[in-house]
Amino acid sequence: MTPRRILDVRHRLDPSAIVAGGLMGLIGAFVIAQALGMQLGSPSRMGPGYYPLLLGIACVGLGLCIAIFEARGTEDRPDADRDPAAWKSRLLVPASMIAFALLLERAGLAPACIALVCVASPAAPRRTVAGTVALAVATPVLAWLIFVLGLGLPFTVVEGLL
Amino acid sequence: MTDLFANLALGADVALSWSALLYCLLGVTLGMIVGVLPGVGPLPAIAMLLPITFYIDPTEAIIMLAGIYYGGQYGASTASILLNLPGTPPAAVTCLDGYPMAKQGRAGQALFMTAIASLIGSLFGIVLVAAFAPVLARFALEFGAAEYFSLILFALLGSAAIGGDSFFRSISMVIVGLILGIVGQDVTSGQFRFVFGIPGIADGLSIVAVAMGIFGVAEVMATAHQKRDMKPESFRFRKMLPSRDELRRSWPAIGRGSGVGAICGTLPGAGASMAVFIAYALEKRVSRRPEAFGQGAIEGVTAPESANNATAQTAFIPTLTLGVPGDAVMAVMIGALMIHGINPGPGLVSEQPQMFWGLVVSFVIGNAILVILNIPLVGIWTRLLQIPYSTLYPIILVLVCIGVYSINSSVFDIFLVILFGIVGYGMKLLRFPPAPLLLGFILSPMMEENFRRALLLSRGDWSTFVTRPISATFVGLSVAVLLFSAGQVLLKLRRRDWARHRGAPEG
Repeated sequence: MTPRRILDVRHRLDPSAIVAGGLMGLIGAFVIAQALGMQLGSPSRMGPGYYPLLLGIACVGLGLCIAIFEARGTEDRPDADRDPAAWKSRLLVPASMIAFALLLERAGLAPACIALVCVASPAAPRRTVAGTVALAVATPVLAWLIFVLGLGLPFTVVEGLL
Repeated sequence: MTDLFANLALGADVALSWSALLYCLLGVTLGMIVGVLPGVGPLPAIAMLLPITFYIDPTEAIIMLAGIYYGGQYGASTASILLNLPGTPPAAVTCLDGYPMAKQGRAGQALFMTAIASLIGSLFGIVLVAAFAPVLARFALEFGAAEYFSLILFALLGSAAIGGDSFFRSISMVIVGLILGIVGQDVTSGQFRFVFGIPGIADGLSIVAVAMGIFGVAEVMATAHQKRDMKPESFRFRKMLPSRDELRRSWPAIGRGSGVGAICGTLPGAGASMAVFIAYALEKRVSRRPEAFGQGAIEGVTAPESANNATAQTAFIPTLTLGVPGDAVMAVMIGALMIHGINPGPGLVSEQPQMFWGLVVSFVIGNAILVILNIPLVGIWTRLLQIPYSTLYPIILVLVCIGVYSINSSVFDIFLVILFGIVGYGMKLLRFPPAPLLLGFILSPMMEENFRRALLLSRGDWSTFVTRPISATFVGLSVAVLLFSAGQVLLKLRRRDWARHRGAPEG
C-alpha cells in the first residue's frame, strides 16, 4: 500500500463520496468561521467558541478522509432509488406535512389531518380513491378521539366550531 | 442480600399499582405493534409518545417508554420470521434462519422458540440490572469530569465503529450530532451559539424533532411509493411446539446469546446490532453443523433473539447509572428522563429508588405479558402484518406532526421536523448512518461541560485525561477502537487493490 495508490483516482469515482466529503468540509468550514467569531479563551478557561472550533476542525478532517479513502467506488452497494415513483415520495411527503403545519392553527386539527392524508396518499402504489377518502375521514376522527378526548390536549378541532 | 429483597419489594409496590400495570401493558403492546409493523420501529414511537408523557407520572412514563423499547424487540422478530422484513436493525439477523424456517412450514416453532429465547435473555438481563446497576452507580460516584469526558468519547467512537459500513461516515455523523447539540445558549457564558436570531431554536433543537425527522420522516420519504408484498408465511397454531431435537440445540444457544447480549448492553456504545451479529457468528463457530446456518437452523434464531433482548434490558445499566446511553433509543430515553426533570446518573438509584426498582420489577411484568402476547395471541400480529403500508404511512405522518407540535404548541417545530426529514433523507442517499448523529446530539452538552471542567480543574493540562486511571482506561479503549477501525479501512483498500490487480471482481 503506497500513498500514491491510495490517492490514485483514475478508477471509477464514487460521486457520493465526493459529495459526502465535500459537504462535511463545507459544514466544518462554516462551523469554524462561526466559532472564530466567538470568544475562544484558553484550555483552562474556554470561551464559547473553543469546543465548536475543535468540532469544526474534526469535520473538515473527516470530510478529507471520506473524499480520499472512499472516492474509488468499487464496492457493490444499492444505488439510490432510480424508480421515477420515488419522486412522488420525496416531494409529496414533505409537502403534506407543510400543508398540515400551515392549516393546523389557521383551520384546526381536522382540516390539517385531511389535507395531510390527501396530499401524501398519491405517493402510494395501488391507491384507490375510495381508500384515500376512507383514510381522510378516519384519520381526523382517530386523532380527535385519541388526542382531544383521550389525552385532553388543547387542540382546536375545526376553527370556529370545536 | 436483604437489601436487594427490600428494594425489590419497594419496586413491586410501585410496579404493581393499577396505573403502573396499565402503562406497562400499554407500552409493551405498543412496542409489539411498532416492532411488527415494518418501517416504524421503537425509536420514532418513543419520540412520538414523549410529549404525551408530560401528563403522567414520570415513573409510569418511563415504564411505558421502556416497554415500547423491549416490546419492540419481540415484535421485530415476528415480521422477520413471517415476512423476511426486519422491523428493527438487529432483527435482520433473525431473518437469516427464521425466514427459511417459515418457508419450510416451521414458522410456528420459530415463533415459539423466539418468544422463549427472548424471555430468557430478558430475564438474564434484568437480573444483571438489579445486581450491578447499584454497584456501578456507587463506583461511578467517583467519576470526575475527566472520567466522564473519556467515557463519552469511548461510547461515541464505539457506536461509530459498529454502526454502518464506513467508519468515516459514522464518525462524521457523530461530529455533526455534536455540532447540532451546541445550538442554543451556552451554559457558561450565556452566549447564544448557532441560533441566528431564530427564537424557535434559542433553547436548542428539539430532540423529538431531530429524532422523528431523521428516523421517522426520512424513512417514509424513502419508502412511501414502494410496493410491498404483505403475504406472511402461513402456519398452524397447533404446530408451534418445537421438537425435542430443536429444544436440545436451543438451550446452549440461548445461554451463549444471553451472555453476549448482556456484555454488549452494559458497554456504552456497543448495542443490540453488535450483540446479534456476535451471537450469530459465535453460534456458527461452535456448531457441529455450521452448514445448516442460513437454511433454517433453530440456533440461528434463538441465539440472536436472546442476545438482543438481554441487550435491551442491560442497556439500562449505563443509561441510568452513568447517564451515557448505549444506542440511539436509549439516547431518546435519556431525553425523556431529562424532560421530566430527572437527571440520569450515579445518584439516580439512591435518590429515586422507587423509580429505579419500580422499573426493574416492571421489566419482569412486561416480559411476562409479552410472552402471552407472543404465544397464544400470535394470530393478531399476523393479521396486523397485512395492513397495507399505503394506509400506515399517512397515519405515521399525522402522529409525527401532532407529537412534535404538542410539546411546545409550536408550528415552528413541525417545520423543524420536516427539515430534519429532508436532512435524514439526504443522509440515506449519501450513506450516512442516522444513529450516531442522534447519540452525538444527546451527549454533546454533557461532553462539552465535562471537557471544559476537566481542563479547568487541571489548569489547562491535557494530561489529566491519561493520568487518572479510570479516564486513562477509557482513553485506551478509544484508541483501541480507532486502531481497529483504521486497520479495517486499510484492509478494505488493500483487498480492493488485489482484486484490481488480478482483474477479478471483488469477493
